[in-house]
Amino acid sequence: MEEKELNKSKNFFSWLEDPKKAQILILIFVIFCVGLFFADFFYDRHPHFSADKVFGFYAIYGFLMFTFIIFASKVLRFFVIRSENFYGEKAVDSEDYPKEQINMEEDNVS
Amino acid sequence: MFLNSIPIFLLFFLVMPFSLIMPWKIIRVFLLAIPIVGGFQILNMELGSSYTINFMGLNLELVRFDKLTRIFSLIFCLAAFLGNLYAWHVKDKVQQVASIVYSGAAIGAVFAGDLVTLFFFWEGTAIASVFLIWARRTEGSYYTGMRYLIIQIISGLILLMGTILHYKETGSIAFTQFELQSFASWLIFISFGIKCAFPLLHNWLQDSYPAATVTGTVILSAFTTKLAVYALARSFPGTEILIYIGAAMTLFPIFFAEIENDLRRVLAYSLNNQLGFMVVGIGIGTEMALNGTASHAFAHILYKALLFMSVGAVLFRTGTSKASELGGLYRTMPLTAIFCLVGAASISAFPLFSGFVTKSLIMDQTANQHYELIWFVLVFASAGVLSHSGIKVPFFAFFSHDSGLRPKEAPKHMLLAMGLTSALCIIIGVAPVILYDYLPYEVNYKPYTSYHVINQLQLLCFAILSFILIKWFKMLPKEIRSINIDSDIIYRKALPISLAYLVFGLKKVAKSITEIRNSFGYFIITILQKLIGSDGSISRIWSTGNMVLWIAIVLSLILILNYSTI
Repeated sequence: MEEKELNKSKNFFSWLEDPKKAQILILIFVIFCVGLFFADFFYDRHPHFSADKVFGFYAIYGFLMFTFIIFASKVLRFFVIRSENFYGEKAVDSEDYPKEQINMEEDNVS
Repeated sequence: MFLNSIPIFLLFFLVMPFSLIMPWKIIRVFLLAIPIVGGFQILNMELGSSYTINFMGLNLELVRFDKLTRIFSLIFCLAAFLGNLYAWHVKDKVQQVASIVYSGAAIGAVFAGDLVTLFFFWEGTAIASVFLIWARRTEGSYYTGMRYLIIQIISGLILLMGTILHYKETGSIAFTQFELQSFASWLIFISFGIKCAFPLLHNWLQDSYPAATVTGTVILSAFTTKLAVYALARSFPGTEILIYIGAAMTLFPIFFAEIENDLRRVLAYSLNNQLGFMVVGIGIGTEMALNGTASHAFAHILYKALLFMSVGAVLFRTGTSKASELGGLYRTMPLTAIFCLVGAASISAFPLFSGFVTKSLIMDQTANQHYELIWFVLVFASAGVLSHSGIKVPFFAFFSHDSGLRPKEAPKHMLLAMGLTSALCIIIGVAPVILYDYLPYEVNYKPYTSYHVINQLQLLCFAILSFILIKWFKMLPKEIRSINIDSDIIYRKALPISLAYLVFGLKKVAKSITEIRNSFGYFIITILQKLIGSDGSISRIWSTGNMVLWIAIVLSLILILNYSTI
């Protein structure tokens, strides 16, 4: 039964489920990134300031800043996290979305 | 055509009387037809046209049509059409009427040529839109709607105060450019700032948008904040403080979005961050920067609506929009997943998508005007946009681990709305000239240069690389059922608690006052006589303008105090 349902739901994303294919995709992406990094040799650069004159500035800045965002938000979470019920019934966070306003069953709802 | 002589917003209000007698199935046809008629009307209007009426001695300019009005009114019509198409299935007349009146009020405000007309529509958007939150019909949404309404009304009252003071100072109610000097201009500025979700005035947005209905949030996301952006662009271009306010707006929501569990609230934070880019553009104030703001607002309304639509479709089919409960939905909702990815690519400003050709106008001007620090902040914020809207939303909803949920694909009309919006995002990205032609000033900029494309790809791809590595080492912030406190804790928890203490304390004080009242009685009566006696200072004759001002102040105070009970 489960097998059948899975087959039924096969689509153009399904090849992602094969871990090998996903790894190949990541590998291609990494190679693409390396290429992008060294692309700085080959075009006419237009730096605005002194820092972005640095070779591969955008790549380095993007990588470092993204990493910073993830870890900084983990620190922030330590201070601001509360339970869903923190504001009680005066907020929607702890309540379910009203069942009568959604439709999980019918294909066509209008 | 007879339509030329009537203001367009009236079209949108036509639905109100009809809704009393017509069934929802007919009203929804109106909901689609009216924005189309309105849009064509705007395209055919002559630039510079105006329509003024005299109301109680004031000349109210109901229609003032120039290029800035044109681009914002056009995108509002487009957003209304797409939002209403997405809401085709909604049988709830309250939502139907609210959404069309809300968009009509927003368009009316964009056309307003004076501050009184603006105030009228400013409050109109507040009152109409709150019904999209209340339409959820739960206790939580009722309270959230009240909080939202109070803040929106306060914004309107501050605008009214500013207008009255401005009128007393200058004798003019024209809605044009102001210098940020007089107290009146500051009031107007703050009023716009509340609706534009300036830092510390922003919480109404993240509080209310996730509380609205599935379709309500899509409609809410388009109008209120962009109306504020329009108002700022009209009144305060080149006001330097806006650059720093805008930069702060791009920064702090990034971190909150990263740890937020409700994906619709993630998008609300991300909306706030995008507004920051527009506000920076207004602050720089050059013609190209204002072009950047207008075009970014245009593109932003589309891709943000698209993202809200895709998450809304998930909510509609699974009953939740919480990242901790979702994952792996690409199996059964592949089309929604693709549309979500288009929205994600657009907001992250990937080349060939709409964000790329609009945001770069602002970034370019920041660099050209030598705002070095701001430029670095904006590039940083661009990586931030990718982190929450570009990766987090599609990844945790449609990919990531398998949540076991096998919902049905979104209904056809939702897919159609998302498909059309996606197409627009891509068309703008591929052929930006189409949008550039409608901007307030002539555009002299080419987004597709080799260095710009490569630099942007470097930034985004290496950010994605960082994501892959962090995911690999399992160090992403976990998706847990939780909320995060933001500055709204001040008025949702701290203020009510301290007020309770204050009341308790006051009662005690009142008791002791009773005891010494008698000895002070005579003294108090003398003072009162000086103040409100026959020639006391308060009992002098005041002008009605002053009275209205005081009523506005008192009303705001009452609203703020009432907040503690909500």
